[in-house]
Amino acid sequence: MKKILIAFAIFALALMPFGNAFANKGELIITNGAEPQGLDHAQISGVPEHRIFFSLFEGLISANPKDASPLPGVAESWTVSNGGKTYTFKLRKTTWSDGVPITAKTFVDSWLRLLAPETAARYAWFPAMFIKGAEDYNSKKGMKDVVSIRAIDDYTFQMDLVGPLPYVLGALIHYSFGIAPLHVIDKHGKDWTKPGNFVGNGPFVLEKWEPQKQLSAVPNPKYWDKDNVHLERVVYLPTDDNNTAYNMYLNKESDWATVIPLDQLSEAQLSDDYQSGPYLGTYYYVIQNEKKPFDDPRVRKALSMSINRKHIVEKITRKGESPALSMVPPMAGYTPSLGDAENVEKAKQLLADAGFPGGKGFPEFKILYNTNEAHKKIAEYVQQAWNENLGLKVTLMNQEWKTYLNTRRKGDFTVARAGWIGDYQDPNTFLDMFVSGAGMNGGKYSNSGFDNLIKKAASMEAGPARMAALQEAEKLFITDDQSVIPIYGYTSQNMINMNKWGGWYNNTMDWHPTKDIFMK
Amino acid sequence: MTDITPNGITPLPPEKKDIEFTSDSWRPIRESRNVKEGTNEFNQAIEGISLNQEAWRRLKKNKMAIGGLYVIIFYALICLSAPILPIHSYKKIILDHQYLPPSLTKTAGDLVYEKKEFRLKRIAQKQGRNFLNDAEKTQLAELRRTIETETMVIDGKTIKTYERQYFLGTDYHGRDMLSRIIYGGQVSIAIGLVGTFTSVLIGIIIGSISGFLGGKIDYFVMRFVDIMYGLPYILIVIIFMALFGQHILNLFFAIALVSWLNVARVVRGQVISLKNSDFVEAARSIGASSRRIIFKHMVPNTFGIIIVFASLEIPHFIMIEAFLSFLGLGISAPFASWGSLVGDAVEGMALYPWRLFFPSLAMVIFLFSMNFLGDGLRDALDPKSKNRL
Repeated sequence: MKKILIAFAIFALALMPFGNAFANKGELIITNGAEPQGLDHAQISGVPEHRIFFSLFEGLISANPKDASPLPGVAESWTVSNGGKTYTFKLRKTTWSDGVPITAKTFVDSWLRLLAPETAARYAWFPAMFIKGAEDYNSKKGMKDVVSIRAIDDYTFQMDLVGPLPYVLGALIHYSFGIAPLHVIDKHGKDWTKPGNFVGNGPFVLEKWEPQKQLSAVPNPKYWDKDNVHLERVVYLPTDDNNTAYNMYLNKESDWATVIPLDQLSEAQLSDDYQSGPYLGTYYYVIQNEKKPFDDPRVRKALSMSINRKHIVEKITRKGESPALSMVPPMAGYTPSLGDAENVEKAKQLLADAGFPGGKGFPEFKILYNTNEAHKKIAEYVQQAWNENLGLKVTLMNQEWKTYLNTRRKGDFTVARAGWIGDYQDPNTFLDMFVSGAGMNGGKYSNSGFDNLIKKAASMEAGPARMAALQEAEKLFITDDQSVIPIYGYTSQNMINMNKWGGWYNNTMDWHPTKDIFMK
Repeated sequence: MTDITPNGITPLPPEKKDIEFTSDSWRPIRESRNVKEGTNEFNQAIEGISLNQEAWRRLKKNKMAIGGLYVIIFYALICLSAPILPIHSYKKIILDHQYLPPSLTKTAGDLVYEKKEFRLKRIAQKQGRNFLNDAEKTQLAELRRTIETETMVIDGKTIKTYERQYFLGTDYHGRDMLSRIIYGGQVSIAIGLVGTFTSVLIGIIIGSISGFLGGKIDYFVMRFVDIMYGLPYILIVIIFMALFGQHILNLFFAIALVSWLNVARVVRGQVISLKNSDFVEAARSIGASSRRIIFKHMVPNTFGIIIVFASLEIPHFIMIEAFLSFLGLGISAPFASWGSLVGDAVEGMALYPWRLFFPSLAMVIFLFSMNFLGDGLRDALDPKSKNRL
């Protein structure tokens, strides 16, 4: 027995250096949240999938890891013409991981496939916001040929936009503008994403995918920029449970934890590995603007002014969020228009002016939120604040996510919790959904001045004048009308050891392309 | 109580008298035997013991059941007197006091200070110091000053915020756990009682009518009960709550809606077995209406079973409510129930175990007591029970 043990120990010792050497080449293990819905860019819609997409595919534009700004991807260079409405991309001569060349036609076909109504891609609405004719095709109002994208020659791709949308380059990073290897899909059908069949064009290529266990990717030898890919392997672990994911990080079973459970936050914040930065998103309460008495801006202002946002972010959410008085978070070149800060006395006065001194006669109303501990805590706090400061009777109502979304879109609520993560870095993504009659405008905000300014900004080229127009729009929306109650700006939370890994930066999109990550 | 003595010997016949038929002769035998009221044939005093008294006597012998009864009375008293008890408001949010551990002696100020000090030391330790730097000391001094001076107004009285004490700690909004548990108990027990009452009421009415009338009506009612029984009741409750909104009355109603089935079946069975007994025959022969027969003669005969059933059903209702609240479908803020308190506490239970422990403890003790009492009642009321004491 002893001999066996000794032999085993020697064997184990002999193996150890190899084991370490293997890890040292740079295997990045990521606890990635939910099991990915798929790898096909026309089928995915979540953040975990987006992280995988960054490894396995590349669109025209790729993301700068430092600030998530656009960098050349498959497109080598581009020119803008027709008053900012037409983009012409010069593609680099590159191939799929199976050696088949990627041409302008690949882009045309992939995008049309995503937009096709029969594909039912969840994110089809995103390209549809930009590309001329895309929405008509997606909503079956027109055929393929109405979509204004074309291959001028094998390596020149051109698209027309619905207007001069200066933020389109940032949006092109998104996976809905990605490409899919149609020649492989024709051959394997749905099974094309299985290891062995899989073909991609990203810095990494799929090595193994065991559902509910792990997905791993190794460098793609056909990638155009393969010399700048440093990792030996990227492993994505599906971890639905936040606590498990975090504990795996603590046990060094993973190198990058993408979520931190709330209970562990105060301990995590003491760690050097804790990475947090502003995230392009706003947590807000949306008010049903048509319902009486909420159609009175004074009432909405009173509600907004009687909440202590600092308390909420410091004591309840505790992730280092910044209290927000504007819908648009601060971003380069844009100064948000703020609503009134907390002022309980003035709030009482406004409510009295609106005809409800001390909250008398004010109808009882509900705060709607989707079932979640954090939303519940905030809702309870706001409920109590409105009750104590304004004398209003408020009840809480929670709904499961899909029901909640439906209720909110229909506008079947009085006050509802909402959050918006910007799709691209531009104030427009936070404002254009409040245009009269827009699908996401469940609060039924309607102000022709606002509508005109948003429309005007959409037809302007990048520059301070456009930002000024958007700022004025936000002034109408928040400062004057207080249509929604912004509460705080989101922050991103990650755990990664920066002494070990380089090329990872906090940025407002929380995008961290694996291409640039390396082991120090 | 028969005329047979324990050793089986027939008692001596009473002394003879001259036979003389008068109207008195037709008086009850006992009287004619000239036996005094309250004594037996040997002139020994007898205690008239009704079935209920005997049951009560049996119950009293069951220590667990009586213990349970006392606990339940205690809970009821505390919950009913909650508004006059010297406890904090269950809905007052003081964010500075969030997550304070339970303490019998320390005030909120002490605990907040300790927490801050611990946190600062932890930061210092992480930075490789074993002392606090000046900035941190200033922070602590400032906190000390706030603790000593800050006041707030509650119910018109100005009190020092940090002198409040929380015997069972506080939750994520700095609300007092003790008062939340007490007010939560009000809700939970009320749901148990109201739910049981309504379900028993519906069950008795439907069960007894169906059992008594029999035939097609019985058949259809029972098939309906079978169908309802086959549906997952939690799902029905959830759908009901989703349709009609989350209101405490809806919760009561939804729970009662799905829980009368058992009672109806039990009562129906009893009624059928009693239907052909002599006293029913007698009642019918003197022309009593069906309604009278059902509610005056039959239902009282099923009470024993129903009481047992009800006492075991109350904890069941409390569990259902706890389960729904745990799912976020039960009671909504600022009210609490034991279930919602436990549900809230699951997040962070490693860091703040008291938030989970105390509501669970309160609930477990109550449910245990209720179950013990129910078991005791069953043993006491059912003369055939094997566990008879």
